[in-house]
Amino acid sequence: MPPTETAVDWSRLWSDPSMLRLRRDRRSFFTVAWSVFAVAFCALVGFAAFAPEIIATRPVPGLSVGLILSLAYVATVMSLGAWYVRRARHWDILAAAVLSVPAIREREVAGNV
Amino acid sequence: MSDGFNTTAVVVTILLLATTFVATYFASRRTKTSAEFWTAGGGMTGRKNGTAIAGDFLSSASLLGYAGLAYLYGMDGIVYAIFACGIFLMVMFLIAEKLRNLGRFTFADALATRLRSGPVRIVSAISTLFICVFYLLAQMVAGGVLMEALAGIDFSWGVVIAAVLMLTYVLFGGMLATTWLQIIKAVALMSVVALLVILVLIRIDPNPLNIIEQAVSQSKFGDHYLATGNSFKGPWNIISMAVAVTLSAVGLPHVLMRFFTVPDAIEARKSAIWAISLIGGFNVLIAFLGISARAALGAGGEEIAGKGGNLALPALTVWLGGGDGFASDLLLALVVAVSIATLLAVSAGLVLSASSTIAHDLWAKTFHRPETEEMTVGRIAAVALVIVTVGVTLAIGGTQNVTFLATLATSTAASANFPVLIMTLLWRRMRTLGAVVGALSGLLTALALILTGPLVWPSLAPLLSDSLTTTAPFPLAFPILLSVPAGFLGCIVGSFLSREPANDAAFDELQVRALTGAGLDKTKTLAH
Repeated sequence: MPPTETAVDWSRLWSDPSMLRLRRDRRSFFTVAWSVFAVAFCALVGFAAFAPEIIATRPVPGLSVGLILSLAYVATVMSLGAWYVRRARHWDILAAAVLSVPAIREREVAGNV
Repeated sequence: MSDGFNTTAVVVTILLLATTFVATYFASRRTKTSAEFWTAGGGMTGRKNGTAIAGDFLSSASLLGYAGLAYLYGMDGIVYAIFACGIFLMVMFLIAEKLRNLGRFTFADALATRLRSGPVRIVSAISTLFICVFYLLAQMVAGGVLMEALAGIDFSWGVVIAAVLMLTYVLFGGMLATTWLQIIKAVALMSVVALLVILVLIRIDPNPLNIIEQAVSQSKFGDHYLATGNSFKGPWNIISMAVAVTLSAVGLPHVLMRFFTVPDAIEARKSAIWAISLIGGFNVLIAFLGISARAALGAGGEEIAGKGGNLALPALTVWLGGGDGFASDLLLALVVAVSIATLLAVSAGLVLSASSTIAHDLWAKTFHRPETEEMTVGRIAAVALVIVTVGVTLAIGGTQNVTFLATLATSTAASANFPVLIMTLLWRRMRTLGAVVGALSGLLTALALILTGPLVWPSLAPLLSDSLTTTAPFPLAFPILLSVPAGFLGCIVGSFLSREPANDAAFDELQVRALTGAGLDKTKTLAH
């Protein structure tokens, strides 16, 4: 894959401060996002699997606990997706900072000739 | 539905397909290099690609299947559709951007950035072909049945016609035509579903909650209609279904391939968010239509809806059109046309993905043939694949239970491809042997558990039957709770047994490139 043999010290780049910023920001997002998803998933699966009768109760006519949980799950999934897209814009900036580290910029130029 | 030849349905289908053929014609004029053939030159926008991905998942199986399940079993059908909303969140969080940053045509490209190209490509070609062929078989059998039931075309002819049409898209238009077919179909499908929902609200009751109450009163389950467990017996069947559905796309080769049709990571995540929103919105509506079918048709509709409930939505459509007459014919024709277009589009994507692995991973990269030959080899492979599939489809006939074919495909994808991809992207100790052992152990475990499971075992007590008893040695329809861990275990064991020296530099390079897109070909431009 590498178009030229211009040496890039990838290991040094991986622990470059600019890269560390990107990695830290991603990690903090994914810790929260995966936790939220896990809670939503377990709530819906848990009730569906172990409490079918609670699922069927209707606090409001026509609207059962199961339907409320289902809609909440869909809303959670969509919100997490939207949140990811927003947060990722920030990662693009951080990634651009990584790519402007001198070692890699030389290779980028060489590769696109 | 109808016993004879359904003229309106056939005419509407032909009209819909005609528009997609116009798109194919223009696509073929723009498809000259192998990059254009396999990935539309990487020039799709995120929105178009996301719509196409949603098109892959809003298949006739989900349109007719989810509605049918919700009609028959209430809450079980609803949770099935709801869990499917999470599919692309998994794809987005785990692989979409990284794959885009690392790969070119197939996901094996991404694996080969740090592992040895030969073995990794051969083993991923095996799993890709396995998955694609079984998924294709499921599509073809379902297609033949659908054409026979809805358009009145004989099963064998239906299969042959579908195969010829689908090959036309692949051979002449490649990925660009396949993507446009998906987009046109997805838009048509959404319009039809939206139209049906509006008609339901007008004809039955403007308040959806009242419709749900009516559905409950019409069900033989009574209040239990809104409880889980009417079809999925026992908690473990529900849990394995939920995990299987959620992970179903993370390893499907024809879905992974779609992320190579966009130019960069930004468009890749736009694709994913479009897919999430469209699939989420439509699964909710489709489940609602299933409930509405119960409210409208009552218990009397069960005979029309068929054993798996697949014809519940067409039956609702006819009812909404006022029974007999042109309005019902036209509505039904729209549902038929969209279902057939879906089937063609999904099959075309599968054939394209299978032939790309033969032409790119095997021919060009493993046997070191020039990349210029890829397109020709790919086309020959596509024709051969379709001939084999049609032969097998005609041999097994329309009575075959297709659920197990589709389950086999998605379970294998999740068990063979997903662990290998994740471990290669994230685990420093991963070795080539780990990828080979991981893929094979995931594949074989999934295969073995399905063959000993309730979908196949004699005196079938399939997933959706009312019977609790199954004679199968393995009790769950979805093998994923065991086969995915088997895939991960294979990766770990294989890597620890390997004598391959550590290559930290290659792993660091992969990580940097996956997160930043360094080294990605930036010459691609967006096609608007």
